Amino acid sequence: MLTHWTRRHRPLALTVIALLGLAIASAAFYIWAIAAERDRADISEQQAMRAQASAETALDELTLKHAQLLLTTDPSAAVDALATYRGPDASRANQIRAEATGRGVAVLRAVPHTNNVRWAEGTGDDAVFSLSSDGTIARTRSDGTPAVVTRNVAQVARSSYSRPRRLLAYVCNPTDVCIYDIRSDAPIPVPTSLQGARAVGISFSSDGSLLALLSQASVLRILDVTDPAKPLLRFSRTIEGGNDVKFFTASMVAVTTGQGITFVDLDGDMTSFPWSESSFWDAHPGEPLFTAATIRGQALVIEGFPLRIAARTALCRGPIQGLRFIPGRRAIAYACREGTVGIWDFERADTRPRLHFEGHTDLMTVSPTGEYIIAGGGQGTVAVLDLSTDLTTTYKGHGFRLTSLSPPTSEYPFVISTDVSGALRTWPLPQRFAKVVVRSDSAFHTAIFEHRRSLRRRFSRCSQPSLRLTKREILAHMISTMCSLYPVTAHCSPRMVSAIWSNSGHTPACLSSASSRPGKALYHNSSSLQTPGMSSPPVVTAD
Amino acid sequence: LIRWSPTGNETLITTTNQPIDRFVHLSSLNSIIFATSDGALWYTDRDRQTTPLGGPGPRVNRIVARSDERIVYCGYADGNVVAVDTGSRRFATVLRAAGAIGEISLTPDDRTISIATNDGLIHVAELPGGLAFDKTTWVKLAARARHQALAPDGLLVVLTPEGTIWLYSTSQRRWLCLPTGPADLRRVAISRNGDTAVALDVEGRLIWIDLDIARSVMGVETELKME
Repeated sequence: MLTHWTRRHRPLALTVIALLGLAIASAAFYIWAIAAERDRADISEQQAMRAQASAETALDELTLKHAQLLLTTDPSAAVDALATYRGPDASRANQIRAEATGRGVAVLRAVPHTNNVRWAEGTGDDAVFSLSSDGTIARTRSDGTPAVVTRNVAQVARSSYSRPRRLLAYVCNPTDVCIYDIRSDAPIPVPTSLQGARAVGISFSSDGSLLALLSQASVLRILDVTDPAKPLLRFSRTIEGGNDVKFFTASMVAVTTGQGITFVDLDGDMTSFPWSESSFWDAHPGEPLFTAATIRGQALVIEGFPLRIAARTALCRGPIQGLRFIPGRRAIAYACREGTVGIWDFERADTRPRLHFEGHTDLMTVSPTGEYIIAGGGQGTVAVLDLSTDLTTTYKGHGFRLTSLSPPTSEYPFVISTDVSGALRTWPLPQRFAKVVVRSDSAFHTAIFEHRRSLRRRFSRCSQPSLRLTKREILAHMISTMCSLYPVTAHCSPRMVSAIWSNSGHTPACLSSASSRPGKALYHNSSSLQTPGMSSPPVVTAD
Repeated sequence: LIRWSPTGNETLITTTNQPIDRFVHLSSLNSIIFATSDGALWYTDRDRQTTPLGGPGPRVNRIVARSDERIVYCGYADGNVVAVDTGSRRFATVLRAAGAIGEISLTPDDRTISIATNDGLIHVAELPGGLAFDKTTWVKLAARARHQALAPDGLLVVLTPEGTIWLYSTSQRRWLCLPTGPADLRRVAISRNGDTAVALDVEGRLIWIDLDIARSVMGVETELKME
């Protein structure tokens, strides 16, 4: 029927067929165009994804490089930078985190003040109190949230802190002396005896029961602050030219004058020592020892009783920037303005520089246990010398000159550092898994562990395996952490290059060489030392 | 090449026309593999017969023998490390690195190898028993090694010229970093049971490292204890 109709209406049929063909072609073209557009969109999407992946890869690489760079200036910021890292090189990120941790990541970072922080102290409840020349005392919680607890601090921000009593005495209002009770986190109302004190010197006695004040008029007053709200005057005298005061013993204070140091006891007896241009001073926490420095690098030790000068030396080429007795030792930690920090053993007249800051040293303190010397210098760098491991850890990140350091205590086992910008940071103590057990005048070349049972028995009190090591003039030493150094034999040839064990493990040998003479191989056993000659210097190291 | 007895007697083993750079003594075979400065590798047997093993070519920077002395690893200045089967004298390429080989260290059980190159990388891998190194998976660590040593449990101790001691657990891939100051650290040695290491520096300091405490700081467990 369709065929019949087509034959009868040929033109119309052709027209319909043509229209159908056109419609199909249009539909096909439309579909093709959509597919092409879709393909283009897919390609664009893939390109965008590739670009995004490339950008993410580049960002990941940049993040790692940025963190790596931050390690030298602020390891804490390096850890922050890695916090958002989700890249593929997790191993490298972990390595950077480990290096940051090794270099010191601050436990707490906060900016509780707007100006120089002059004093800071941590408490057992993880708060840090700080006093600043911006006029405030702030309390910073462990989450970094600061809160101002008082606003009456005088701009000079002079203070003294009694750790046993947890009392902070400071100049306030601006000529009074205020006392803040850190334990109860509350100020004590200023009693009349502390009003208008115009103190240029403030010092608590070691147990915190007495407070010495020296006024601008050089009047020395010693008050019993057993009840800090009701101080009782115990002693008062004018010390001509007095400009600072510090407790020496429980019943004696030291006052600096333009000409020297005057020791005043509560009975009124006075002893003076000439000592001009005095700068830093300190009293030994357990013995009647007093030390003072000058701005010209001189230092002395005064010992009682009767008071006499026990030692005197030149510690620095320029001004001394800090001087502290090391508790538990008869030695003094000192810091020179030019950057050197060292230990002065005044009984042996031995002075040993232990670390050096680039540029200058600003501050130095010693922990109450005598385990750590903490110094600040350079561009806000904190250095902690662990006297039990003899290793120094440096903490970086302040970026500004440091203004105070607080040593770790049993209550707050962290180092606190503050700077001129009003910021404070607390740092963890260095890990103790390594220690310097030998410090020699010349370099060691190599070391091999001893594993002979006979020698172990011989040094049975040693807890660690013993060790042989070689250096320029010493063939071998027995060593352990508990037994210190035992020289076994000596007199090796000029240049040691290697040390080995014989196959039996009983005979250590060292090889040596010298450019101008034949080399020698040395063999050592418990009773003899053979030195057979070689016709030419050995070029082989058998390690 | 001269052998010395503990009493001081010397025995000439062999003579070469090039300076000898490195050697390793294979006591079980009573033989020596050594390298001359032209990069040639030589083998001297118990009868003092010296035969060439390879080269000349790039200089050999390190030769280290496995504890069973069946394989010797040779590190070259061009960054290649080859393994030499001391029985069959066959060679196999262990690693092709970009930088010259600086140090090669093995654990006492020969399962883990650490290869330091002078481009600031350390290549660490678990080794196969034989010479089939093509499927070895290498872990690259970024550290400029002055010297290194491996403890029995695979704890790697690396000294850097900047005075940093790195500890890396090859089994658990954890790091511990100990900056010791600006002194140039030179040598490290680890006790046989792996509980102690010592590091020496140019200032004459000997630093005693308690590896057991270090492992606990790293959170690394070890079951290996060798006496």
